[in-house]
Amino acid sequence: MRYRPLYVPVVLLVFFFLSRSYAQPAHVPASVIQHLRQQCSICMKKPADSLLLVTGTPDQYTAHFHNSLLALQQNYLDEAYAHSLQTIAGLEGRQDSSLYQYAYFIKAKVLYYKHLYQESIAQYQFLLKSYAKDPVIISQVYSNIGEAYLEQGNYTLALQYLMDWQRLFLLGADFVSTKNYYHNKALCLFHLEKYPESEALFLKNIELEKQNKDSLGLAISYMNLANQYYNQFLDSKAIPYFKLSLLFAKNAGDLSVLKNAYLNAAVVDENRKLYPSALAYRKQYELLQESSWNRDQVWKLAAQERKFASQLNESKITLLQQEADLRDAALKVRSRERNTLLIAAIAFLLLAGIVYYAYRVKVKTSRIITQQKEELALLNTMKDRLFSIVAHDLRSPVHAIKTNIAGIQSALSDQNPGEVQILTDRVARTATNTWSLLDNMLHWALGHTNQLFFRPEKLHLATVINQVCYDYLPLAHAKDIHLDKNIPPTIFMLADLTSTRIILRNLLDNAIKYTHQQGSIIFEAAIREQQCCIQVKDTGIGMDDTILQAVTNREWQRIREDTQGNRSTGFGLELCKMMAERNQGSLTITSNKETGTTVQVCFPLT
Amino acid sequence: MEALKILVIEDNEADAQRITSLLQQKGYIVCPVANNLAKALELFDSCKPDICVIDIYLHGQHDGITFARHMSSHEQNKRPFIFLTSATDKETFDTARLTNPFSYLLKPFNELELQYAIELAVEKFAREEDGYFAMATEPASVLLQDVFFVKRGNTLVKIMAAEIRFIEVDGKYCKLAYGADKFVIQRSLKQLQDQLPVKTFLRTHRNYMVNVKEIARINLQDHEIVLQDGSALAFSRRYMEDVMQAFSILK
Repeated sequence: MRYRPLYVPVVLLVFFFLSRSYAQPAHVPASVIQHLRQQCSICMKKPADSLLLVTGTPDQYTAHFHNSLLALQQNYLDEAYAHSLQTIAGLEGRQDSSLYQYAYFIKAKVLYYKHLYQESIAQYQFLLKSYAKDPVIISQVYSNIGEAYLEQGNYTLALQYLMDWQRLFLLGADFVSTKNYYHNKALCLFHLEKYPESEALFLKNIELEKQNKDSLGLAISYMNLANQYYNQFLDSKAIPYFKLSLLFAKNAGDLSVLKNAYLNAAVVDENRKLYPSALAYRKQYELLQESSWNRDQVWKLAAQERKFASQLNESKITLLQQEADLRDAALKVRSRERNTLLIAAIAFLLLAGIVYYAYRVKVKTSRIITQQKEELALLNTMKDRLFSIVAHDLRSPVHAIKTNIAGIQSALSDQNPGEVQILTDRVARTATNTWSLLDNMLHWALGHTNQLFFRPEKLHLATVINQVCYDYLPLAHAKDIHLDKNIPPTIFMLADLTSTRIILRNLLDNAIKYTHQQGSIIFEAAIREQQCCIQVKDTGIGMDDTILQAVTNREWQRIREDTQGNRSTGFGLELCKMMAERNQGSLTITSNKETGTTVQVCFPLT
Repeated sequence: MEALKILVIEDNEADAQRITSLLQQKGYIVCPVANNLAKALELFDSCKPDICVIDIYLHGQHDGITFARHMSSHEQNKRPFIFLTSATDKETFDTARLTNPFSYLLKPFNELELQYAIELAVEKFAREEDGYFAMATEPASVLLQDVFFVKRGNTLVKIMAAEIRFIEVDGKYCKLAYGADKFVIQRSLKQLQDQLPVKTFLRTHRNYMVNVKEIARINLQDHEIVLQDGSALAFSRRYMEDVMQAFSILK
């Protein structure tokens, strides 16, 4: 009794070990596989074509059966299960087929390996009741049901099925099956605490193992026997078996068995207070535990490797995806590059256009500037001339008027009517001259700056000439000049009234100025070559070629004095010329010192 | 026969005085001088001028142009007008031109220019040829509605159509018989017949239109119409019906 509290771990260990020992054979016995393969039409004919047959054969179930068989052989339980189910489905309505029982058998077997014992047992029992015909299969079914019950801990039922197997198949059973039968039965009895019977069976089993020279089997069997003895507190009987178990386990090479053997030895030695050896065994155990862990680690590694492989696959896929993405990106980049280039080209063209435009604008601007410069120079000359006229030609007559008026005032106070008359005439004359000079100046300036109102209209020539002459009649009369007009009343012309008047006024003015007393001036007009030509002829002092040249070339320095000693500015003729040209007409001067001057102005008729 | 009535719109007193006296010398009737826009508008209504002489600038404003525009905006107020200005610059003229003036008169001007401007304005207003009055060798006239503007000497006078005794074809154009005088008018008899009031003149012959009031007798035997002063005009049977109808209506 002193050991009692210490037994529990041992028993537990035994349980652990036993369950492990039966959970482990996930291998269908080779003989069974061989037997099943003989039932498979594919295996019997052309194993290599099995894959070919999967696709498009009318007997798909045969292919499924073959596949389930192969999967079972290679311990791919899930695959085997799936194929067996498909085989069963394929054989629906043909349950009498021999293949049906084998498919069912595989299905049940897989369930067993999956530790779904209840399900497995149900399937086996169904198979036994209805379709199982092949004795090999029936034998397997019985022993498997027994094993399943044993795994479930239902030892009575397990024993019952083992006994059935013994009754039906022990005679003529192969060695492995027999050995398993003894072992399993011994375990059942042991658990049912029928120790004498189980002891006998264990010994029988050991004998068989010895015949077979199976170290692993011996190790397991010795351990089971040792456990039984130890459970019965027969320590002296148990200990040598534990030692033997350990010895065979060392040779067997099954690590889990060896590990359990060490642990058992350690527990036993500990209970015997042999602490150093117990410690040594424990250490060995722990070492193995670690190594099994390591092995688990290896398994895990393998799993990880698989995981890694799948990850690799995934990563390959990802890589391909990425490559595709990259290609897309590259395409995008290329299209973007192309777009960019296009935009750049357009931008460049635009820039070029802008530059060209700017250049054109600059050229235009510089042309405008040059033009403006010329205009400015002209205006400047004009301004200078206007100033010089104001300084000389305008200032002196106005001053003369001022002086004369002072003279008139003093003559009035002196009550000298004769003097007053003379001075008044002089003032009137000067004022008239000055006014016409001013008027010319104004029109000249306006004409040059394009500010003059200009509107050609139909003019009755005789009327216009009459109007102009009207103003000069007193002047002509004063010089006793005979003014004659010979204008046909039917002549009309197209000209601007104001400028025409200016021309005629100036010509008449000049004619009067440069004609001596009692001379004559004649206006004549005629239509020549679709033009209305007006001639102003005088019998005046005339001009020689030099002066004529000077007038034509606008050399204002060569101006001269009229018959009364008044200086001319040359303004008048220049203005006439300008105005005639603006009216699309012309002005020509013919002159000589003897006969006087003739000026001809021509205007368009229409 | 009465003289043309002229409204002078001018803010410069001396110029106004000069124009007025020149016009009066010529025998024109001159309305009181208007020196601002308000007065001009008032006088236009009260004096009822036949022609206006307008200074473009009144007290530095373009009021002359405003007046011209106002006058031209109503059909019944339309009159020939003359722009009077001392400005020769383009801008002023361009502004003035928008009112379609009938003539311009630039200061300083002489009486011939004034005369011509008036004639030109009337000619243009009547859509007559430019310089028609100036060119005419014998007394000429133009027709405005039912008034004849006749040039007598150097002056234009008005004759109401009703005062014309008869109209006689003279070559291409016609002559108007007023009292003992005859005035040329550059219109065909047909044109005049269309323009004159129907009830005033009767077509009596290929060459004559006679004022109804002037007809004293119709001598059918001799094919002539005897006028109030005893003179006789040829009468064509062709127009008999028209004449009889006119008289029956008159009775």
